[in-house]
Amino acid sequence: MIFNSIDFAIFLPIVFILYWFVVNRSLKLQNALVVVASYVFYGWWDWRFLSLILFSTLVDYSVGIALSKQEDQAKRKALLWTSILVNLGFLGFFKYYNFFLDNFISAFSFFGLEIQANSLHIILPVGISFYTFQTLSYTIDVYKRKLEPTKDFIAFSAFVSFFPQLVAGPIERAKHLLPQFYKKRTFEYDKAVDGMRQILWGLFKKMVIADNCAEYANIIFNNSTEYSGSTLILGAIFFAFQIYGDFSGYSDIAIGTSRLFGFDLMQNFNFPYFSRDIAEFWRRWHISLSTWFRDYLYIPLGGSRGGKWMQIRNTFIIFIVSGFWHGANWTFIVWGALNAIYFLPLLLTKNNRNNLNIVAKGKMFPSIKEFLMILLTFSLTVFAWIFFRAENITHAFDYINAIASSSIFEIPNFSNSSRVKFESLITILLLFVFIVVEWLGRNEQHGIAFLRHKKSKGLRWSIYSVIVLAITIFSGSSQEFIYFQF
Amino acid sequence: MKKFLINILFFGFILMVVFFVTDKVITHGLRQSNMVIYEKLTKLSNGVINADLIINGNSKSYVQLSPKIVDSVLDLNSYNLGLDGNDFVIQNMQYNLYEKTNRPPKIIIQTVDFGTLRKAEGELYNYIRFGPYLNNSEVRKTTKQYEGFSLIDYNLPLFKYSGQPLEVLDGLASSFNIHIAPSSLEKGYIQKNLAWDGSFDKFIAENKNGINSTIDKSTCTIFESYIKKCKQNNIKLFLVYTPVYYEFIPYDLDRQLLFDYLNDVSKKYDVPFLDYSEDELTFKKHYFFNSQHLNREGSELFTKKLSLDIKVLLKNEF
Repeated sequence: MIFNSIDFAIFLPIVFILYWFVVNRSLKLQNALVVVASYVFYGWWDWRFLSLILFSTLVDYSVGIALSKQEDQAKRKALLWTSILVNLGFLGFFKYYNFFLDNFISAFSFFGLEIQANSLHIILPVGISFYTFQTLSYTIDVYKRKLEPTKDFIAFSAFVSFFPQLVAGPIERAKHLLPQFYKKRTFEYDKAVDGMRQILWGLFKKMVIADNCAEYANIIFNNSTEYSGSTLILGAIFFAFQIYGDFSGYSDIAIGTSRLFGFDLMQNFNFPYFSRDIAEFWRRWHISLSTWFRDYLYIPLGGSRGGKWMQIRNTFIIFIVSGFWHGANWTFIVWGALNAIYFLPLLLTKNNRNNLNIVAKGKMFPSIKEFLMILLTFSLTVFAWIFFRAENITHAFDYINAIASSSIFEIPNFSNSSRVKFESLITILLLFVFIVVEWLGRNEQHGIAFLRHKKSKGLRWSIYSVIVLAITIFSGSSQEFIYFQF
Repeated sequence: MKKFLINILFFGFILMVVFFVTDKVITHGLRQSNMVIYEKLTKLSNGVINADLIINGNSKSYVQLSPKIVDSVLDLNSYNLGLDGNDFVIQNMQYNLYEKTNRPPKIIIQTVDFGTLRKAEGELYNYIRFGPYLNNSEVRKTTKQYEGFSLIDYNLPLFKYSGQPLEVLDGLASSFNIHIAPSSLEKGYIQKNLAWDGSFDKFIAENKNGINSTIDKSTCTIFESYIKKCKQNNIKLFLVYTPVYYEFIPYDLDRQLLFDYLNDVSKKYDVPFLDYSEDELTFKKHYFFNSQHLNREGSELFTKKLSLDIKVLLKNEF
């Protein structure tokens, strides 16, 4: 089930009513309802893969219990590795099997050895990378004795499968989300209203910004040989907003939905395109994944404590693994490596923590210096997105080569249809409005959270109505959430 | 909780009112629109066509038959109702709408091709043009057979215009009598002043073994009812197969089936079937912009030829 569907529009109120009016007296029943609802939500897409979630839940629950009873360090380690191997085994098989197989075949063929092996037609279970990392965080924290293992199987199942964030995050830490299933939830009006606001803004980002940008990004990337350099730049910018609107929109809907049920999820995006350098960008983009890698990979590798070479090695490892997490394609690895290259100079010159505050805080406009820094960071990010979006490395390089031509000075044009031209202009106008609103809301949790400070109910409701109208009128043709494939 | 639910319900109610009013304004505007895909339905529903001769069909009519030339040869007032990309079920629906608000014609030129009698299903080309008319029971019933409008579009206000900003803008503007797109049709006909576009090469590459077309029984029933209705109302009907570029013919694998059916219908109902698929025009590439359609120059020549042929037939009849 996807958030921007009629199915979800019917599903959500039903679960909401059952949760607050039917099973509200029992925490256990509320948690059980969350599990059932989550399994229905996921099974709507493909019920067969519910077995994977259930198996992963059983394994990590059992490992957690076993770890609590086990003092022997070697046995504890074995238990931890059991969980890691089972979880990463599923992930590796479903997501990376064909990639490794194809690359092995290519590598052997390079040395003149022909190997006969067939790729498998494997369906990638939606959200596997997200819930795998979430359950791993539980086992690792229990192993490190940072978290008490739970004996409440229902609460643990609800934590693993919690439907708002099951398929595309935010990747929650057990330490943060699991305890929320132990406590009685009470309905908080302000929290629920802000949750609704966040859902509304998430839908706008997804259905208006991302889906419209996707149409043009797809046209341009899929036919990149036919367009001028300037059009290709526009295509990359469209993709930058597509992926941001798509993924942060999903996160907003997930967080907002959770708040309706009395849960708090971590912020996953913090206005990343207003970053003044790449280090700041990575503190603001897909925060739940970046911090996961920081805590469970970068720091265990030594982080930035070692010498320069160790810092360089660790930086490359974390960015490349992060790229590879996104998908089994060399394009993601190059995208990760490119970001490592962007990041390294800041790290090595100890400038990676320069911009920790909110840009132009308390001011309407940024300074010229801040503006130029934002523009440069955005340009670097857009350049890297070309690798992320391209079909393969050759396509990415061809795309970049075509940009670097005299046609970069031509007026962008990707369609002769006056309807497409009109609609693309509308999209650019909407992007402008979107950037302005996000700029105004950059001090808050989400783009329109600042509306809660507006005292006039009439004004707030008018703005909500305009957003709903905009979603209805300007929504692009429905595209699947990009991060479902990860 | 109570406050939350009341607010949600109240906000939902306000939204529905806003949606309802906006829908009404846009729909009213689009029914006055001059934009290419709306103009025919605008004129038709406002009852301002009242032609002596109607040209009906798909793009074979729309881009190939000029009413001005027909008028000059036959000395009549004609109008082209051709709807590009649509089969006979939709053409028939539009004709029924025409009949309700306009004087019936004396003559109908009905073009036919391999897509005319296909089953009413799949994507409805330019479905949005029927959006302002969804309150009409026949339009609802007919369009529901195709992919285009969803259940919500039929039942909730404004949703049918979702993702159609141009329609919304034009609808709002037209409702205040401001037309953002000037009329570009010539009595329903659109000139295609184009050179050969090469799409036929792509078609051959993708369909090396040719294409099959279907003749659907239920569409044939509607087609024959339409013929019967014309006969009953003393409307002279001419079935016309317009020229296609000769190299296409071997790829139309079910061509003979269609021709057999059309010849049978022609005999059964005593309506002329004029076949131009082997006309000399079909060998002249420069008169076409793709394998299926004549360009402006070719269309003008063909319209003249067809009009003269019809003139002879009409003369012989009386």
